This record gives sequence, C-alpha cells and structure tokens, in this order.
Amino acid sequence: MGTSKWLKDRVAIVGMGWTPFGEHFQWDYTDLLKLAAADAMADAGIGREEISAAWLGTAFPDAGVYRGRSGMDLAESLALFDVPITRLSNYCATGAEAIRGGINSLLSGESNAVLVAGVEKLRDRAPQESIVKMMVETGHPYYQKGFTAAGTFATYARRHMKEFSLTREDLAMVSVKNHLHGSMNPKAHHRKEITVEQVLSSPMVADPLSVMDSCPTTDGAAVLILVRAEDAHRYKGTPIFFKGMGMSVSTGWDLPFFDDRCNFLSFRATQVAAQRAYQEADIQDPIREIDLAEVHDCFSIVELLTYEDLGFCAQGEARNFLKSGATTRDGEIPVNVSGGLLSCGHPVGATGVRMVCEIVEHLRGQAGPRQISGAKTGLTHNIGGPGAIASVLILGMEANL
Amino acid sequence: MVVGIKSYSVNLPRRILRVHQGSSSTSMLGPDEDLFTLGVGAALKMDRGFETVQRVFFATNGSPFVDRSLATQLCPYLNLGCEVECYDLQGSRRSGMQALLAGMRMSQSGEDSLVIISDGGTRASRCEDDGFGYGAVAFLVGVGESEDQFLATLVSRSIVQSALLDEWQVESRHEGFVEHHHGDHRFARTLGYEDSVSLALKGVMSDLGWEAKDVDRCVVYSPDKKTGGAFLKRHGFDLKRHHSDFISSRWGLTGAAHTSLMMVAELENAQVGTRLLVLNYGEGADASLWKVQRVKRQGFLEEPSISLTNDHFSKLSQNLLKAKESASGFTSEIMEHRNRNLWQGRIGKQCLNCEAILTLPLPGCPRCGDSKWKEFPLALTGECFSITWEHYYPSQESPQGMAVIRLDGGGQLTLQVADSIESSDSQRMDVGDRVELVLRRIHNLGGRPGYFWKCRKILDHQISQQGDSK
Repeated sequence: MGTSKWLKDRVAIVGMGWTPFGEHFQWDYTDLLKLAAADAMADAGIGREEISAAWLGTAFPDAGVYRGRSGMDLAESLALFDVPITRLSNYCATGAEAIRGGINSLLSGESNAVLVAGVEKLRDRAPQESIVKMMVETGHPYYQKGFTAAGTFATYARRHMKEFSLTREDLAMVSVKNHLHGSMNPKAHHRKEITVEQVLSSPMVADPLSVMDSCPTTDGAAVLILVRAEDAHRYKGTPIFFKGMGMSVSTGWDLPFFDDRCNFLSFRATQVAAQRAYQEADIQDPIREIDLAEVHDCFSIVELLTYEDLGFCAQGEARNFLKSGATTRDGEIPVNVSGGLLSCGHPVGATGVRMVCEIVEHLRGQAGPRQISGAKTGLTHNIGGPGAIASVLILGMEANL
Repeated sequence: MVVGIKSYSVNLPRRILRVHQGSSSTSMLGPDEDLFTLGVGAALKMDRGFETVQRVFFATNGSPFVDRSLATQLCPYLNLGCEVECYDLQGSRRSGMQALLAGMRMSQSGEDSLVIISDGGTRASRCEDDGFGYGAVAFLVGVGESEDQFLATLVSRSIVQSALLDEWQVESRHEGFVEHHHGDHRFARTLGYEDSVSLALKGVMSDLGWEAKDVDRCVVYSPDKKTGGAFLKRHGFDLKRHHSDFISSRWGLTGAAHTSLMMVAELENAQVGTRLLVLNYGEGADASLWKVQRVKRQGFLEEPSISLTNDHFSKLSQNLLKAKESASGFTSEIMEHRNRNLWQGRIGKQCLNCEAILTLPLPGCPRCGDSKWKEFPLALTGECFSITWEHYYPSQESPQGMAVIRLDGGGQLTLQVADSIESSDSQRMDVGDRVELVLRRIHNLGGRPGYFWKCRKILDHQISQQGDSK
C-alpha cells in the first residue's frame, strides 16, 4: 500500500445483507431496514453493541412513507441507540453517499465499526404517486416543469440518436440483457427474460424511452457493515476491500438544461468519479482489470452512456460495445449481472448499497448461478440527479490474496 | 409634429376549427393560452423595441384577472420601466379602437404609446351561424417630424357614445365561451347599430366635407355577415371597391380586437395614399379616417394555421379534465418578483470573465465562479437541441413535449412545447427545428395564472418570411 493512498485496502466490508427488491406490501419501512440489517450483522457476526456509528440513506421520504427523514428512524428500527446516526440524501446516489460517510468515519478514527443502510419504501403508494408525482407537483414552478425523471434522460437518448445513430432497438438491448441477468437473481423485482420486441411495444414513457427502458419503482433495503482493514479478520464474513472511490457533483439539478455547454452526450460526474477511483485503485485499463461492474441503468440510455464515461469504450461506440456481447455475463466485462436497476428495481436509497452487495457476493464466490468465475475486482457506479452526481467504487480482494 | 401609427403586429392563435362544412373557420385558444398571453404575444412580434414607450393601453373584453391591470402586468414581459403609464380599457366591444384613438390623442404630448388589443370568445347577437374566435393586435403610436415616418396617420375621427343595452354577456364563463343575452333584434339593429354608426360616420365625413367616393377602403364592424355590408351600401359605398373582410371567415369574430384586426389586414394590402375608413360599434360607435403613408407587410394573413379535427378537440377536452385533477404544486410570488427580470423580461447574464451565458438565477458563474456580470437579453428564437415527449406528465397537451432550446445569440433554456397536440408529423418539433418562444400559462396554483415561456416549432411559412426580411 503506497503512502499516497487514502483508501485503498484501508476499509473492509465484513457484512452485507439486502432484502429482495420488489413490491413488499407486507413489510413497512422499518421491516425492510430490520431485515437487511439483521442479515448484514449476522454475515459479519457483529453485535449491536459493537456498532459505533451508522448512516441511513433514504432519498425521498416525502415520496414514500415519510420515514427516513432522520437517523432516528434507523435507531428505533434496529434499537440502535446512543451512537451517532446520520440520515442523508443525495438523490439517486444516496446509497453511495451513505457508504462514503461510513468510510470517512472509520478513516478519521471516529468509529470502529459502522453500519451503512439504504432504504426506500415507495410501493405503499401507486407508482405514479411517488417519484413521478414528486417531480410533477413539488418541483420548481417553472424550471423543468413538464419533466419526469424519464424525460430528463430521454433528452440524452435523443441527442445520442442524432449524433451517433443510436436506435430504439439498441436501447432495448440493454434492457433485454439486464432482464436476462435478472432472471438469475432471486432478489430482483422482475425476474423474467424479455425480448427487444417487448421493449419496443411497451407503452412509451418519454420518447424514446418506453416502460421497459425504465426501471420500476420498488421497495427494498440494503445494509453493509464496514470496519478498518486491520480489524477485518475479527469478524465472520470474508472481507472485501475498498480499492478506490470517486464521487463528484459536476453540475446541478437544473443546470444541464440551462447551460449551453451541456452536450447531452455524457455525464461529466461519472468521468470525474471514475478517474479518481481508478487513480486510487491503480486501474490503468478498466476493461482488463475490472471483472464485473454494477452500473446505474435507471433507464437504458444511462447504461450506454456509462460504458463510454467509465472508459469501457470510446464515445459513440456504446451500441457496438453492447452488441459485441462484451457486457453480458460471459463477456469481457459483465455489466449488471444482478439485473441492474432495470430488473432489480430502484428503491432509491438502497440501490448504491445493493450494487456493492452484488459485487461482494461475486468476489466471495457466493453469487450462485450468476457467479462471474474468478472475479477479483468489481466496480459500482451510482448516479444522482440528472447525471449531476456520480460515485464510482472499486472493490477487491485482500491485497495479499 | 405628426401623430400616427409607427408599427403594428398581430398574434393569432395557431389552432383553427373548421365550421360550416369547412367553408369557414374560427381560431381557438390552446388550453394554456388566454387573452393576456395572446396580447403579450402580439407586442413581442413587433419589429422594433419599446424604448420610446411611455404609455401602455391594454384593451380586452375578457381579462383573466379580476383586480389587476393587464397593461401593468404586461410591462415586465416587455421590460418596460416603472415610469410607464398603464391603462386598461375593458367591458366594451368597442374598447379596442377606443384604446387606439386614446393612444393617438395622448401621444400628441410627444411620447409613444403602445396599444394592445386582445379579445375573443365573444359571440355577437344574431350570429349563431358565425364562429367566434380570438386575436390580438399591438400598435405603436406616437409623434414624428413627417408623415413618411408612419404607416398610417389619422385624418379625422368621430365618437358616439350610447348606453343602449342591445346585448350583454351573462356572468358565467366556461371553457372560454361566453353566453349572451340580447333584446329585440330589430331594436338593436335600428336604434343600436344604425343610429350609432350613422352618427359616427356622419361626424367624420362632414368634418372633412367628404363623400363615400372620397374613401378608398372601408372597415366596418358587423355583428353578423350582412349588417355591416348593408350599412355601407345604404350609405353610398360600393362594396366591391370599398370593402372586403380578410379576418372573419378564417379566425371568426374576435370581439374588441375585431375592428382593429380588420384594419391592419387592410394596411397589409394597402397602397401608399390609401384613405381608409374604419367604423366600429359597441356602446355607441366610432369612425376614424386614416391615410396610409407607408406599407410594411407583416405577413400575418399568410401565417399557417393548424386545423383541429374532432379527434383533436375531444383529446384536448379529455386532457383538460385529466390535468385538472393534479393541479397542486409550489409557487411563490416573492420568488417570482425577485426573478422577474429573468423569468418575465428574459434578461439573462453574461459572465465578464468567461462569457458564459446564464439563464438561471445563480449568484456566480457556474463555469468559472466569477461574480461579475453584464445583462444579456435572451432571444425569442432558437433551435431545438434535444426533445422528448412525456407521456406520464399530467398535461393538457399530453404527451407533453419538453425541449432543450439553444437560443439565437446564445443561452439555453429547457421549456415545455406548446401547440403540439394536433400537430402532424411535419409540424411536430424535432431536433434541429427552428423554434420560437411563446408566453403561456404553465400553472394555475392558488387560482392565479402562472405564466412562463414555452416553445413551439416555427412552421415553414414563418421561416421563409424571416428569411425574406433579412
């Protein structure tokens, strides 16, 4: 470990748990949190009394059930009292932000073992009453009035179509691939394979994105237990180490739509976050050095843009890269083997944490039928806002293994 | 010192509805338009700035506001200063020409007046077979050194007032339609129309010692297809020579705006020296004689319309009902007032350090962080850089278009697409299309209309017109 490294091999994941993602009409927000936390703590073999701090990521309490507005909601769900608990939101990158909080607390010496949770309970409301309604009714009276989340990303898709001859079929193939992967994931919201024709014939949401180009609105929770590397072997779970992390806020909520510098072809936040993460993890050639990636495919176009922004392929080449099969489970760099957001669903605060759980399972060799054999290094990519925020995490095995 | 019309501009709804088996049509407001947006649109189409304007008139017969002056509300959208005098003329079908004549008289003091006339939805009595539509005209009037500085100068005028109640609107107004009650037709036609218009005509002609033959063209307000023409005939005018109506059969009867719309239609087709008689009716009558000094065609008579089908009409109606169900959200008068220069006056900022053009109310340049700015007026035209159609946004024009617009001269806005619901493929906005900004109602929170800019595709005819003028 070089002295210039602030993170690489210094923090380990010793426990992880995530609930099945889906419509959990039988479970409340607190149930989801409790279930995921119980699994993570059992995985680590850690007692409640050992946890010295916690982070709770819930992006949109007001679009859900008004829980997750403060760390108090984690405290009472887990009976975890007398420790600092921070509730945070960073739009759809909330999960990654919670992880960052936990890492920094450990590295600062504030705490010795931290619990990082992401939870979102959206399906107690009808799908269009939650996040869609949030953008329609509680947004700015003028700026972006008329958009739903799908529309903001659709403007990128439309521009890509213009510049690089991207087609709706190309977009649909992302969803087809991820649903194929998701069919192997028992915790995914949608576990059925689909066809290009089904994507194309599903109802339009925001041209050119149809329902099946879009991730579902989902309930779910995911929890990690993090400790400093030197403490990792005190716990039961096989430790997986953070090799690199980059997080960037590179524009604003409204700014891309009001700044003629924005070309709607890429997300600078992803590029910056990736650069930082690669530097920390000493990644020179991501395609060769990364064994699998979980990327933020809230809409099919975003996965394609992300191939380019992460340096997996050149700008404009994403469609050919996808068509080459490089990102399917047996490809050069499998992307979204979990099924991604398109298949797993997107309980917003939980997503960034769930991505890390998926990588941990593969690196531990516990991913069952979707296991990427020999996986040693994985990447997660979690974005927020209209691509304004991005987190890239690089995870790997213990340095001497 | 001469007083006259320096410029005019017209704003007519793009949508028309065919009536009488397609032999005529009427203009229709979109669900996000009202008489205020129509009037602002007319003013913004004027081919010159408003630096010289010291007085604004807004004439209409159907204000969307109860206790606000439309002329005052309009000022921020035209960047008119607080020293400008504002007058509303309302409550009469004749208020349009009254405003123009008042503007002419008050401008004799040496200052320019902006006169905006926006009206419609008013059905004249005894004309159930005629359509009623919407339209707006703006006039810039003022003084000059010589007649050739004007499009038209006023030769003479005569005004007759009459409290005669020949017809009146009932209070209720729903979906833009106004119910009318009227008294006995013959009473209205004789003691109302004939007496008042005759008196006004006599006043203006005897003032000059003119007869019908001395007039080149006539514009006459007519509550139905026959009355106006019959009047002219009775008074010695030759209908073939003097009279034609370019407005009514395409855009319908447009209430207080109708006479002035017919008047500017004449100015479009006139020759220098044409003597134009304008006869107007409603709570009395006014007659004015104008001399055409210069012809500068605006081309509004050739502007393309989009013809609504019954399917469009029923889709619009369904969307109106759907959209009403989710009419809640956030708005703030305080925030709006704070940002009025940008949101209403379209005054952006340009960073003095890196020249970035800012169209958001931010305290510093988002590119270089500098906080030194100069004002940057944003253009009303641009190009569609990207676009999507939102199928799940509850809109009166669902699917709601959202377009990223690169403005001419610089700056970017992302705006709702207007006038889209009935567009054919060729009329539907796409990446690369030329677009124009239009002011529309974007919400009605708390019962108050909230206006903001939307965009729409410039149709082919308009593009060639713009090209011609360069």
